[in-house]
Amino acid sequence: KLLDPCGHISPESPVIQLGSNFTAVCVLKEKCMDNFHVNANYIVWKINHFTVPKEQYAILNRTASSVTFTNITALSVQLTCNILTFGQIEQNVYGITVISGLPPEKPKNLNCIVYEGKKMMCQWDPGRETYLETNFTLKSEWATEKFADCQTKRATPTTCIVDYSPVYFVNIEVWVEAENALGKVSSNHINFDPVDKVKPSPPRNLSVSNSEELSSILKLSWINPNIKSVIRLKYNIQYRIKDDSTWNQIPPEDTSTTRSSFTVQDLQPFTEYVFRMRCMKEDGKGFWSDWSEEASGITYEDR
Amino acid sequence: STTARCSCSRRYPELLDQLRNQADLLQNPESLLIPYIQYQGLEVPGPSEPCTEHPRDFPSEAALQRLSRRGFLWTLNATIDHVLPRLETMKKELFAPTDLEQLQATANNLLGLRSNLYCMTRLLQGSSEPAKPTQSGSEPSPPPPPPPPPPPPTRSQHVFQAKQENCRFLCGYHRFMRSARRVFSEWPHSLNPSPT
Repeated sequence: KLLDPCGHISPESPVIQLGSNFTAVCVLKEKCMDNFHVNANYIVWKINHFTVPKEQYAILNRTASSVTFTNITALSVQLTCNILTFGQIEQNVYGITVISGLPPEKPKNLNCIVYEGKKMMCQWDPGRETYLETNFTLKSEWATEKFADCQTKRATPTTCIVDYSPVYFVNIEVWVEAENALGKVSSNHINFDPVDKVKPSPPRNLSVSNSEELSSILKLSWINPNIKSVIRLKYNIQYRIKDDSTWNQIPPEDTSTTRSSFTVQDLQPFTEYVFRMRCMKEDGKGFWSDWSEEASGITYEDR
Repeated sequence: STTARCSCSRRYPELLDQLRNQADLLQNPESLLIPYIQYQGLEVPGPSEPCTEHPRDFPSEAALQRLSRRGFLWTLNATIDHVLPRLETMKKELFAPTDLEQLQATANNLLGLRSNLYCMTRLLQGSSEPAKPTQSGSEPSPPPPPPPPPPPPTRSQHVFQAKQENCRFLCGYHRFMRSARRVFSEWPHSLNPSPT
């Protein structure tokens, strides 16, 4: 009984758009009005314990008073409805928290990447700060299948890793929906074949061997990533003289098809070289792998 | 990447390329038959095959060649509907646990193939596809879908005969996908090929 409030404020837990106007109404209970011999005229509105100027009040009827705020800028305030009892004792009737923020903007720059052997990850620009809890949902579908929604985690609100393995050679439609208390909006849809979004694992077991016959060459060999069974690869191969910081690159046109070895020519005799390489889909769609482990070798002495 | 409402690719050459690549993936015996044979201990020395396809399980390549493009897509789709539940049954006990991920990938690829078949069917609906000439001059109706396979062998039946049945099924499946790959490779490069 003790906790039975003498009235209530509506709306109960409002979320307001920043810069807009807001009106709340406090309605007193007849029983309380009788007990304390008060009516709506006795209501005092407070914001974070500061009294709101009377000019912002409006008496709606015997039991109800409203208060209006224009061009809201605060993100969160405590609004209370109070009554002056017996002329000077202020008694709290009810209180609410008024939260304000912005509706989500249309997410932009949605893009996805398939790390080899892993599931597809998509990321996007969320747009302006909304000051509100905003949920992002990544949606994806084929022409004949709808995949489970990908809910972002609070720590990473602008990326999502889908929970199904990539299926290559099938166009998939992906988009992201942003929603908070003030609205919901969708990004543009992007449509692609996951095979064009692959970031391969780097080539591994890179090894270097020299040639007794030719002191100006070193032969590289490596193991290609497993994705080679699905896509054709091209490479960047770089080398530098040990203790030199400048990398030289083999002309890309010389390494533009799938292979597992390459002979580097025109090197200095009896010199140690360091090599590294990376790969990506042959037609340039997708992403370069990380660089391989470095490997080094020494050219043969000149005769 | 284009922003298109429907996720179907609207470019016939690109979709045809995807279908060919999918058939390449699916016909590879490494994806199903070989893991099954190894797990079931059906390897045989020398070049001979541990089992041969049962003619009734899948349409022959010749039958597929006689179909119109739409008839062929329809048959391919019907065959997927026939294969997927069989894979589901086999998944439970007939593959090594380590192969289950590969088995799921194959099932996903089959679902992906079905999606592309749907898209190609839509593309062809808009095309003026000439009926494939036959002796009787009428459009060869696609072969009836393969009869439902015998109920999966029950445990009480002879285990080796059951293994053989599954081996024959998988053998037929890979052959069918090779045939589908060849049929796709003979498809015209454009949606509306000029009549020859």
